[in-house]
Amino acid sequence: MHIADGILSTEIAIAADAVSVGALYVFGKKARTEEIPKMGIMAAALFVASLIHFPVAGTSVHLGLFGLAGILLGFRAIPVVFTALLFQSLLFQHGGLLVLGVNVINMSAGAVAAYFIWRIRPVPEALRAFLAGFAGIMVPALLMALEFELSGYGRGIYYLMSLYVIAGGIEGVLTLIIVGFFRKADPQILPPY
Amino acid sequence: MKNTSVWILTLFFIFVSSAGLLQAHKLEVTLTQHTPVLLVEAGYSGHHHGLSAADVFIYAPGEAEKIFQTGKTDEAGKFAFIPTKAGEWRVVVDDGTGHRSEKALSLGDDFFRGEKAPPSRAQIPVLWKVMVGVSLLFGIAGILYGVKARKKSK
Repeated sequence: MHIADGILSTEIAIAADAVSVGALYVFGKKARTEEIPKMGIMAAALFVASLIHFPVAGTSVHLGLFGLAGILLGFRAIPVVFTALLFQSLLFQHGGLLVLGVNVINMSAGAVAAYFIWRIRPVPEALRAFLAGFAGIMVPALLMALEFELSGYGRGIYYLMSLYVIAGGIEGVLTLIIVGFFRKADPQILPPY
Repeated sequence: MKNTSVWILTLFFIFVSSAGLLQAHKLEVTLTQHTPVLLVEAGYSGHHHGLSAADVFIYAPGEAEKIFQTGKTDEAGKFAFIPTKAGEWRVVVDDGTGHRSEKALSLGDDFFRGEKAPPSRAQIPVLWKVMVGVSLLFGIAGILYGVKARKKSK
């Protein structure tokens, strides 16, 4: 899921860095004081979530929690994803530092997609939670596969998407369980859309 | 945000962290010297088996752009080649799904004489890295909270 340095062109990487820094500023600046503790905890959770991985078809896929971040934080998930990915890149070498912007855009898109899915009112909450978790992985995976396809890298879009369907399913179930737990333990955590 | 919410989110974070600490996901490459061969071993940290069929690119000393040799790792995640001169050899391993790792190793004349290489430096444990990262993230959130709260109270 995390793209390493040297795969995409430097021009694209730098342009994406500029966009992601802009998004960090815009959405970070608007954060309310009472949202900061939630954002800090989610950033820490995202930071360690990538360590939980599953071997699939000879490669390795991992949790992201981008769907959960989207549900809990909406557009505030963007600065959270940025910070978590920056620390993952610096400390775990998950994803390159130059392509940080591309990774931020891919994964934030997953969080934002999850946020919109969560807001579809007529759909039951459990289904919304599952789909949000699923989209939180599948949207970044689709963007990553498209970027690879355009730059002529990798094993092909269908192969990559088939890998991440499994990860998306796992993440969907996990998001469903976590949302269910929050609903019972303290519904205030879940935003009233 | 209520105190209960913070505690519940913290509990959730501790759960994720403890699960995360049991594993790691980085594509790791190790290079070991077995004169006259340099052995490349690739695998995801936390997995017990090597990474098979990954692309391997070898770059000779002083030739950053020109590929000296290319190939794929075997079923055990291994690939071997014979270096031809002293200097820094660069090895790039790519699994084709976005994971890529690069390692460089300086070979001296002792390698070609068949002398044993000195042991490599120990790596920083994942637990330490997680603790550093989490502490920094909580620290940043704490500072931002303090600054915002101070602005709000003015």
